[in-house]
Amino acid sequence: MPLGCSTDDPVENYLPARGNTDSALATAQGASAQSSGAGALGGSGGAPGMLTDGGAGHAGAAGQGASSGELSATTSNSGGSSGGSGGSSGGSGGSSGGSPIDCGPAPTSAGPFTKERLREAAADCAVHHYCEFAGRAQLLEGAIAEHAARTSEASLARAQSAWRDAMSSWQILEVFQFGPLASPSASAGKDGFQGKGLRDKIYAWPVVARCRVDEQVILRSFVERGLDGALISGRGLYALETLLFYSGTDSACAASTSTAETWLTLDPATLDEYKRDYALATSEDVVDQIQGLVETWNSGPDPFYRKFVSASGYPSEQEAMNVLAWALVYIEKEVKDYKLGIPAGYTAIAPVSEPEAPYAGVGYANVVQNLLGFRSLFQGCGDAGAGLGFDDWLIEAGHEALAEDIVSAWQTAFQTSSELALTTEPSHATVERVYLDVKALTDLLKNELLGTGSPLNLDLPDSVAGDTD
Amino acid sequence: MTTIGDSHSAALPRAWLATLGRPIDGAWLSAFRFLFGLLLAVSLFRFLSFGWVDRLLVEPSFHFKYWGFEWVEPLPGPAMHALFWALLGLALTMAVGFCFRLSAALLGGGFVYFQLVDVSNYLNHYYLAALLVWLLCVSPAHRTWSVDAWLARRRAALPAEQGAGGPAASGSVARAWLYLFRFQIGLVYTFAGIAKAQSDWLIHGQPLSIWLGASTDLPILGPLFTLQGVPLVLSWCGFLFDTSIVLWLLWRKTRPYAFAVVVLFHTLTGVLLPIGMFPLIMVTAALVFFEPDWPRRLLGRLGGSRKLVQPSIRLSEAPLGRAARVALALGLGYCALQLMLPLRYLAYPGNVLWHEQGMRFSWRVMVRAKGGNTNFIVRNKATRQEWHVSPRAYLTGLQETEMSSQPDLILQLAHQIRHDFEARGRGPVEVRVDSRVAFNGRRSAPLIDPNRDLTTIADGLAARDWVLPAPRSRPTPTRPVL
Repeated sequence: MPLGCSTDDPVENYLPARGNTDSALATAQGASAQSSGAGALGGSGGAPGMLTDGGAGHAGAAGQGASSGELSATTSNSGGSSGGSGGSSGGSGGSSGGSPIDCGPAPTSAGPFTKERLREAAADCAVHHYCEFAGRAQLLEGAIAEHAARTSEASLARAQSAWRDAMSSWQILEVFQFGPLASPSASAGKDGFQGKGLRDKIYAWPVVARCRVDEQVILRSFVERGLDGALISGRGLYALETLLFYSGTDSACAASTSTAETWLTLDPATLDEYKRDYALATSEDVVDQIQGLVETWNSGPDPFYRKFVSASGYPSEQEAMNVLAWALVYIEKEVKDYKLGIPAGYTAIAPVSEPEAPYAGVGYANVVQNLLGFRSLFQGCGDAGAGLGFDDWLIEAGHEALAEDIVSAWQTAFQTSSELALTTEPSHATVERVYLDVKALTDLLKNELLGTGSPLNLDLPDSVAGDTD
Repeated sequence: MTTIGDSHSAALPRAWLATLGRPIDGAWLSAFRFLFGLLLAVSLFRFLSFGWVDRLLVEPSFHFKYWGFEWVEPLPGPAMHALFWALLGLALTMAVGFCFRLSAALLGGGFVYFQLVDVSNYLNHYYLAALLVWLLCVSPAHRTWSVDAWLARRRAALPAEQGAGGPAASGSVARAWLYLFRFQIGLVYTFAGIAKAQSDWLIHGQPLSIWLGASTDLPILGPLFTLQGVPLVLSWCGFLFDTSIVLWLLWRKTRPYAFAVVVLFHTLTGVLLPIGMFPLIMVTAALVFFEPDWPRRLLGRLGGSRKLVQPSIRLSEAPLGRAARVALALGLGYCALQLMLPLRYLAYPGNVLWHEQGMRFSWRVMVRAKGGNTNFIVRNKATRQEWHVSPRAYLTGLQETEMSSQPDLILQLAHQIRHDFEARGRGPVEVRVDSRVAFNGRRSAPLIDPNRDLTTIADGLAARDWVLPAPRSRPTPTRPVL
C-alpha cells in the first residue's frame, strides 16, 4: 500500500499531544518489552501500511533497548564523529567483524561549487554508502548462514549483531532515496523519473507486517522461486529483524488464516528451521538487491551514476536537483512525523502499522543514523560534513544565514537524538524534546529550503502538478 | 448598473457611439475563435494526458471552495474525465464555429465549473481563458469562416461569403467587439506591469533572481543569468514590456515590431517558467491588436483563395438599435468590473502579495516566490487536550503548497478540522495555526496570528486582522548559480 494512504476519517487516528501521553508511552513501552520477550506483539495480520488507531500500540516502542553499541558509526563519515555536537560514539557495537569490502574513506569533494558537482558529490556519497551497506549485508548473510548451519545462542547473537550493523548502515541510506533506490510513485514524493523502488525490497518500513513474514515462513515459496513474489512488507531487513529478534512462538496472522492454522500444526523445531531458512534466503536476497543496485549505478551502457551527474535522466537539471533535495524530506516525514511524532504524541495521522525496529530496539538509534545521512547529503559526505552539500549551494546563492541555521538546527537535533538513543527507558519529555528539535530542523527545510519560497527554487515533493502563473 | 437607455445615450458622444457600432471585417474575430479554440483543446488534452484531472480534481479528499460557491462539488472520477473529453470536443466545435453559441456556452460553463471545484487550482491564465470563452460566446465570432455561417448560406442558397443570409452569415462585426477584446488583453498586460511596480521586483530583482537560478543549465542563456545584475535587468525588461506593450501594439507603426517582441518575450517566459499554455494564449491573444482584416491579408500573402482573401462582406453602417445599445452598456459594465477587480486590493492595508486580499482575478502574474509550512494546533476548550494536525492528513502536496501561503485557504481548512473533531465528539475545539512563510527570498516569517482561534473567524470581504503584517526586511540578494 502506498505510504500516502489514509482513512476517510483522520480524526479517529489522532493522538493526544499532551495530557495522557505519558501513560500512553508507558503502556507502549510495556507492550513492546513484552513483545520482544514473550511473543506478545499484538500484530493483527492486517494489511501493511494501514492507519493505526491511537498511538499507544506503537508509541515509544521504537526507542526501547537501544544500547550504546547500537549507535555505532558504520561509515567513515560517521565513524566516531560527533559532528560537532558530541553525540555519536564510535565502536562497532558488537560487530561480527570487519567489512569484506574496502570502501575507503567517505568521499569529499572540493573546489568551486556547481550544481553538477553537487550531484557528483551526492552520487559519490551514495555509492560509498552502498558499498558500506553491501559489506555489512554480506557479513549478515554469513552470520545467518552460520547460525542456520550450527544453531546456538552464540550464533544467534552474532547474527543479531550483524543485523544491527547492517541496519545502522542502511539507516544512512534512508536519506539517499533518489535514483533506482527511490520509489517512482508520485505519492511517495521521491524520484518519479528514475526511481525503481529498490529500497522497498531491502527495507520497506513503515509498510511492514509481521504476518507477511509468517506467510513466507509457512509457504516456503522462496525455496523454489526466490523472493521475487514476496510482498515488500514481509521481506528485507524487517523480515530479518522479526526472524532474529522476535522470540515469541505465535503467528501475527489472524487465527482464521491458513498461515495461522498451519503455524499451529508445526512443532517448534520445524518452525525454527523454517524461520532460519527464510532468514537465510532473505539475507541472500538483501545482498543480491544491494549488489544489483550498485550495478545499476556503475555498470551497463548507461549507468545511472552518469545519468544523474549529467542530469540527463531528468527533464531538466532543476528536476534532478529537486529529486536530490526530496531525499532530505525523509527527515521530515519518516523521522519527525513517524519515528518521533507518534511516540511523542504529536503526529495526528500516519500510515504506520508498527514502530520501527521494535524487536531489536534500535528505533531511536536509527534516528541518529538518519541524521548522519542527512548531514552527508546536506553538508557533505566527509567527516563532520566535509565536502560539497546543499549548504554550499545556499552559500553560493547568497543565503549563508539559512545554511548556518540548518546546520545549527541539525547539530541540536543530532545531540538530543543521540542522548535519546542512549536512554534505556526514555521519558515522554525526552522524546518530545527530540521531536521538537528535529521539527526545528524540518521547519527550516519546509519553510525555506524547499517550496515555492525556496531561494534555490526547489520544489516540495508531490507539489508540482499542472502549470503555474 | 447604469444602462445606456434612451436618456443616457444622449449624454455620450454620438461620434463615439457611431465608432463603436461601425461594422468592420469579422475575420480577426473568427481567426481568434479558431486559434483560441485549438489552444483550449490542447490545454484540455494536457489535463487529460498528464493526469491532472485526477491529481487536481478527483484525488483530493478535501477541496477549497470559492466564497459563495461552497455548493460546487467535484464530479466522480469517470464523470470528471468525461467532462474534460466533452470540453475538448466543445473547444474544437467552437473553433470551427459549429453550433457556436451552444458550444461556447457549454465550454465556458465547464471551464468555470472545474475552476470552482478547488480554489487551490486557480491560475490567472485559466481565469483569462474562461473570460475569453464567455466573451467569444456572446460575440458574433461565428459570422465568418464557420460551419454555422456555411450552413446558413446553404440554407439561404447564397454564394460563399455573401453576407445576406442573416446574422450568422454576415461577415462583419461591430468595432466595439474589437475594442472589447483589445481591452481585455490589454488589461492583463497592464495590470501585470503595475503589479511589478514595487521594490522587490524593480530594486532587488526578486523573485526573478530565484527563478532564473533554475535555468542556468540552458545553452547560451543559462550562464548569462549568473552574471551580476542580469536578473535585475531582466526584471526591468519584464516591467517595461508589460506596462508598455499595449501601446506599442496599438500604434500601427510599431505594431509588427511589438508583436515580434511579444513572441520573443513569451517564448522566453515559456522556456524559463512552468507556465504551460499561457505564452501561446497570450501570443494568440495579441493578434487582436492587428487590423481587423489581418487574416485575409495573411492568407493573401500565403496564396489563399480569392473567396477567402477578398470577401464581399457587408460593411454598411446603420443606426444602433436598442439591442445594440444594451449590448454596449453591458460591455461597458463588464469593462468597469474588470477594471475594479484588480484594484480592489487598494481597499486593504498592507502588501497584497503577502495578505492576498485582492490577489485573485487581478493579473498579478508571476510576481511572488512565496511558500511555507502550516501546522494546525487543535485544543479542546474544556479539557485543554491538544493535538497537532498536519495538512498532509487532508491535502495533496499541491494543495498544501498553495494553502500555506494563502490565508483564506488556511482558514477553510481550520474550519474543516474543527468540524471533523466536533463531529467525532472531541469538541468543542479551538484551532490555531503555526504558519511561517518565506517571501521573495526573505527568511520565513509568521503569516497568521498564532494566538487567534480561527474557528471564531468567518471569511468575508473585511480586512483580515488575523493575518500578520508582511516582513519589512529587504529580500536577501540571490545569485543564480551554475
